Amino acid sequence: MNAVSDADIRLQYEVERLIFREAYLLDNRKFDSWLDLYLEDAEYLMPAWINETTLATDPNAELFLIYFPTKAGLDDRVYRINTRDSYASAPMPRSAHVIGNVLILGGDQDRIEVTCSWTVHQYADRKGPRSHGGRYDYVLQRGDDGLKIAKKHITFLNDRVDIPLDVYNV
Amino acid sequence: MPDASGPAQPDQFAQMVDDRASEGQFRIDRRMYDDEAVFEAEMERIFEATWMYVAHESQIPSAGDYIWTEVGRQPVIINRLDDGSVSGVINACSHRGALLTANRQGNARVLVCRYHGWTFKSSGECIRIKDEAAGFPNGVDKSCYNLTPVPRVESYKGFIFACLNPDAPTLMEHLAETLPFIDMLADQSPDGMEVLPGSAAYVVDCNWKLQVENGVDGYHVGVVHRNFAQTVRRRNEINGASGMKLTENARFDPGAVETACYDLGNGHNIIWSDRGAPEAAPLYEAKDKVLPEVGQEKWNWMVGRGRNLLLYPNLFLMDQSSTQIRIIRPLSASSTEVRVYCIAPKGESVQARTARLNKFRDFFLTSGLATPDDSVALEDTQAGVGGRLAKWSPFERGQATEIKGPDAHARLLNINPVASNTPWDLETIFVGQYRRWAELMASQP
Repeated sequence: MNAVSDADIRLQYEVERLIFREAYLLDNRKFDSWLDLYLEDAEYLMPAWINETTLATDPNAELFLIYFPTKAGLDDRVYRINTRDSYASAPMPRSAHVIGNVLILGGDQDRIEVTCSWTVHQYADRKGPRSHGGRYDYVLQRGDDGLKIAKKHITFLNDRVDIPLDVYNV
Repeated sequence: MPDASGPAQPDQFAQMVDDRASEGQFRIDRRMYDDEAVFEAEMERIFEATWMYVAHESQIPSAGDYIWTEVGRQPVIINRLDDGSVSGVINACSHRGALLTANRQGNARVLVCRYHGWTFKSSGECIRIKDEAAGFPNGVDKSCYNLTPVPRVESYKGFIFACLNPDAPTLMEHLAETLPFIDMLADQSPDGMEVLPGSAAYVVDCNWKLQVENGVDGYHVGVVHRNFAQTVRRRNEINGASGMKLTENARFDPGAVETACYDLGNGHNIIWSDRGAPEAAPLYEAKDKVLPEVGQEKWNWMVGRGRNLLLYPNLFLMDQSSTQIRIIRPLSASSTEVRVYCIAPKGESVQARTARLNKFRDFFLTSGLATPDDSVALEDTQAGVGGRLAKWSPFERGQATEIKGPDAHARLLNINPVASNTPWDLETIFVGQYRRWAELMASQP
């Protein structure tokens, strides 16, 4: 291992603070603040599994559970939740995201590739306690107001989905 | 009256459909949604006795390609043999019963059991018993150890069905009046149709019959999917969407477009709705290729009408904003797996393929903007039907307007439904479903 510099430690802290903040905002239903974490042209992807070991890679040719080429897709989700008219989202399951193994894989101070593991613990009156998890792969980008999310790729481990599944519980 | 507290007895199944349509009454006993004895009988008398959809031929194009799936409670391998035909065997080694496939899908010219190494041709013929000479010093007829074949495997225009009952009618007799509607999906490209890579499955804690109702329930569309319509309308406006990028949504407004439903016999049925903007359909670009092949009337149906087709009891072919194969698999009386695939015309443009997948994710996935609302509504229904004191679910809306036989649109297609009704949300088609249910449940396997 290379020696760890102060800059490395500061960057790791900055990255974790953003990722943990996203989880906090989702679990506390602060969706407008959550949207602010994303760049306007941020990509958001959650591929389906093609078989036991292979994830879909091309959202325009293969099945993805969620794919938004820009932040507008996230905005649609928040709008839908805020209608209070979505059967699945009212009431919403309670949730707690737990994120670990945050590892900077590459990039530089201004564009950072990060991977981490996640689980979401949920409770809904009708369904009882449940949990699921996977991996996040982020690209974070530095702008005038700090780090923002340029890309979020969610690996969802389950092949069979316990409903409902939405941006607030992955 | 049957005792409402204990498990249902076989001689009570028929009474669970209270069919007095001539007196204006048709209702079902809600015990059929959560009684385990009913469920076991359904597995035997419906899912293991009639034709079940298993796969699309585009998923197993080459010799040795296989899919491992279930027919009723039986694990089966559906595979492509060396001669190009499609066949099926029970996915259990003839020796100890271990599954013969490591994966849900793959290629295996021979099936080798991973437990003791017995080996079979993809047709099921036993060709190797490990240490045969030591185990059978006097010789052995290996054909005694062939895999158990699936009695019937047939396909229609790429859609493969299996049936565990050797005495069932042919697939064509079973599908009967649904064929023109299957054609409307199957004939969307002169090059054929393909299932796109990747599938999604979700488990809904409801009885399978609630899923089978929901897929052809026009009545909930304007209620449960009101917020879907609202969300996509806002998006259409923000984007100034036109052409294929538009998400068509006329069907969410009751009365905005013409709709109807047909009971197609054998439990099958269809609901359809005119599209407010046919040019939004990804198929629209294929007019010059497809119209000359199918003729004007059929083309109008293909591109101008959204259709939900139920092939009872386990398959929906949906052609709405996108195109979907939806397979219903009962797990227990109160739990159902739904597995979905996007099916698309081979050779369509990148723009059409992209639009098709966008719209598929929007509406047809449980991680989308509509299906989660159906799923949770069905779970609520399952919770409600457990209330034994509220015993009956009525299917009586629309009796006054029901047409015996075809309406004018069906007549133009030369099809002969058992009954027709308009608008699409009337309950005529559920009468057909539950009459079929009662008929199958009364049969002795």
